[in-house]
Formats: sequence, structure tokens, C-alpha cells
Amino acid sequence: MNCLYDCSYCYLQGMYPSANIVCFLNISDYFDATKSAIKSRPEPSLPLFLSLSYDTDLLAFENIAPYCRQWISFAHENENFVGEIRTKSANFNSISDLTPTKRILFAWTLSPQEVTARYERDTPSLQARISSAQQAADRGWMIRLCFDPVIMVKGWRDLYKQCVDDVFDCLPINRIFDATVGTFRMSASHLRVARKHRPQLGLLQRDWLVRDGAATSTTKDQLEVANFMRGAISKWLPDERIIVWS
Amino acid sequence: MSEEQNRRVALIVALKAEATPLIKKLGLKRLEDHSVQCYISENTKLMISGAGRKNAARAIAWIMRQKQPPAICNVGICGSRNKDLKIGTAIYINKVHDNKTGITYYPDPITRHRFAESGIVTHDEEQVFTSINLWNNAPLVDMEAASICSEVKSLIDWHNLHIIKIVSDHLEGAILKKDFVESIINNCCDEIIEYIKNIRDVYSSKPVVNKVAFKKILCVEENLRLSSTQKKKFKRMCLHKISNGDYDLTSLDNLPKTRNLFTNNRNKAFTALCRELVP
Repeated sequence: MNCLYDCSYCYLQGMYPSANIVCFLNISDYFDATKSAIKSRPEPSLPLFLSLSYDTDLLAFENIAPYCRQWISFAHENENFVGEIRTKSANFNSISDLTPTKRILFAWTLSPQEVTARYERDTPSLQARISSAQQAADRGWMIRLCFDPVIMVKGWRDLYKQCVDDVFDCLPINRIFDATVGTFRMSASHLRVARKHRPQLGLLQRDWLVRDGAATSTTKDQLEVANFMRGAISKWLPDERIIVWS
Repeated sequence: MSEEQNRRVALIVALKAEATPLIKKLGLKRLEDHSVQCYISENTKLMISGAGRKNAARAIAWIMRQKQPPAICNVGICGSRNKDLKIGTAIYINKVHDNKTGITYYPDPITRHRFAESGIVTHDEEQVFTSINLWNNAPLVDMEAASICSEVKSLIDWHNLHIIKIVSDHLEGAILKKDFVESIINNCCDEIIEYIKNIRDVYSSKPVVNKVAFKKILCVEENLRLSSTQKKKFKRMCLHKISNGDYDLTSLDNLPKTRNLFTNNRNKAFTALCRELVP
């Protein structure tokens, strides 16, 4: 729970009253609960999909709390399970000795270096993330690429176009599972708390559209980003492997 | 004197013997026209609540009926099941467990302190060392802390509650004499008063929005005839500018001077203003 990184757009800023990092030690309870969830999954023809790195960056913590290693071992032993480990880290080295499995998907969140420097404090550079993803792909892991959130900064089209090209230039296309695209979105209640706690962050103070309890970009901006990013990525990946969050 | 300086940090102390050293050192004066035992100075208010849950709750209710204090600090003696905690040690309470309700509270200080930290369990009756009412990592016992947490939690921000306890015995059942209690509190007094001063300093710091910035905010609000929602958004954005070092809001100086706009134009001007302030 909570993260080593300090991204300006992250909902964790408004989620917990404390920034302390909490590691739950009862991981075996999580495995037991996951096994029951696999058995009782509503769609037996599909595997249970679990986002393992949801309220934190699990791979960034691997040298402190080796949870990725344990989840990968769990995935090897349990059929009908797919886990996604989403990360901004360049820490693939810490688990590079493990045998790849199709039941674990490594997802790297990628942003142009200008956006990373401005809005993703303390995270590895774009180049370091690409290298780490490249290492994972070379070892035989399937990779998900997340251009999410796309932040509309000045000249964002050129920046993201260049970023997409740089990323796909370096990674083997056959190891890329899919690519996802999204814009800023945060629960309105989390945004309210985050704005109060961190008035200095301009991104939080923008006049976001609040609709159905969520703060997002306007529909026009969302469409603009979706169309542009789909165009940029479709040069490298077929359309059905580009997922756009709206 | 500013509004903030007028607000006194409230100290809640159960017994007269616990309060006497603080009253002397802080130079507090008895408030005469009240049935409660309350002592005040320019920036501190001390109330002797009486021992136990009900008395503590009553004291909080009385304090909150007056001008709301910026912070509440409970100071008093406690017993310890842990004999490593020496008698006379001042402890900052970081966890309060209510033995009656089973609820646990976690005080969350934002002010740096030099006390040791520990957890405490609040009981309704006196405890002796043989008692089996042990609770997870909370070797201290008292009769008020949980009641204070329960009363205060919805009334002030959680980080504004502070509980400092001084270990008075190791639950051996001995009756504590007034002089002894006074002496152990007296020995920790300077440390406690320094901490109270630190708490006070947080609230008596300069206002976030200075007069120049405040005038500019009012001027824009008036010129654009902003709605109340727009005013809230505008203030939030101004706070963003101020927190990034633009204390006098010079970024508002370059805005076009528009006045008395119709609603439609006002909304357009406000959108442009937002973009200007938070690009």
C-alpha cells in the first residue's frame, strides 16, 4: 500500500491519510483468497485476471519485499490465473532469474521524458524503463505498454509521437501483448483530498470535469487523445491490440 | 492580535496534582465565573476534568462550546505494565485502545517531538499488574485517553489531538501521593511546555494569503462577478500560485481588466483565467 514514487496524477495522494508505506505480511492469505476466487470466478472459460500492483508499484519494491517473485511462483502453480504487474520501475533485474510464464503480464507505464520529469517525481527515466522492458521481453515475458495517463502539456502530440516511436523501436513487437491509452482520471473524492493536501501541484488544480463521481478530461480532450494515440500506435500494433480507456 | 493568536491551545488534565506544576510554569490564571476548574493565559487554556471517562467527555464538551481550540493536548499520569519504562518518563501516545468499546485510535502528530512513543489502553477501573486485560503493544493504562479520542475525533482535525502521559507506577497497587504526582509532572514540565509551544507556533504562523494577494483575489472576483463555485475554484488556483512562491499573486497583474460581464462572457473569461493560472 502506497508507493515509492510521487506521481502528480496518482489517486494515492487522496486515498490514504498517511503516506507511510505498508507491506502486508500475510501474503499466504492473499494466495488462499485468490485460489478461492479462481474456483468461483463467474466466467469459467476465462482465467481470473488480477491487477497485482494496484495501490503501489510492486516491482519497484522487489528488493525490499519480494512479492513479485512470490506471485510469479503462484502463477506457475495455478492455472486459470493471469496477473498483471504494472510498474514504472527499471527493476526487472531483481526477478530476471525467474522462468517466464504467460500467466504474468508485465505492464510498463511510459511517458515522454518531459512529462516524466515534470509529473512523475522519483521515477526512472523513460530510457531506463524501456531498457527494463526490453530485458523482460528478451527473457521471454509478455509486455503490456501503458501510455496512461496521456497528459496534455504544451506540444503533447510531438512528445507522445516521439515516445511511442522510441518505445516500439526498442522492443520486439512479438512480445508486446497490447498497448493501453488513457487520460487523467481520479475519483472526485480522492481529488478533493489531494488538492487540499498538495496545493502546489498544478495538475491537480486544473479545472477537471467531474462526472459520475470521477474527475476526468473533457470528452473532447479524451477523444482527441484517443484518436491521436491510436494513430501513433497503429503504425506498430494492429488495432485490436490497442485498448483505449474512456 | 490576530484571530489565530486569540485561539488557545487546550490542555486537559484529570487531577489537580497533575495540573499544578503546569499552571505554575505556564503562569495560568483561574477563570472565576465558571463551575469548571479552568485556567487560562494569553495562549493556553488548561482544564482540570476529574478522573475517568465521563469527566473527560464533559471537559471536551465544555471546551468545544467555547472558541474552538486549534489543538487539544491531554497531559497526565499513567500506569505501565512494562517495567522498562521508568517512572517519570514522558511518553507520546501513538495508539489508544478503548478497553470498553474495543475501538483503537491512532493519534497522528505533525509536530516533531522528543518523547518516547507507546500505546495505551483506557480502562474504567483501576488496574493492577496481574490483570489479564493486556492489549497488543500497549503497555500503558489510564482512564481518560480513549474517551478524549472518541469525543474529539469528529470535532477537530485528528492531527490536532496530542496525548502525553507520564509513567507514575508499574501497577503495583500503591496509592500515589499528591506530592509525588506533582514532582514527576514537574520534572517533565519543561519538555511538555516546549512541545506545547511548538504546537502553538504552527498556528500562530503568518496567514497563507497576505493582504496584497487577498485584495487582488477580491478584485478579480468582483470584476468578473464570479459565481460561488467559481470563487471556490479561483481561490484554490490562487492557493496553488501562492504555494509555488507567488505570494503577492503577481500572475494576476497581467490579466486583462474586464468588468461586469454577462454570464456567458463571464464563464468564458473564467475558463481563460483558469488556463492562465494553471496551464
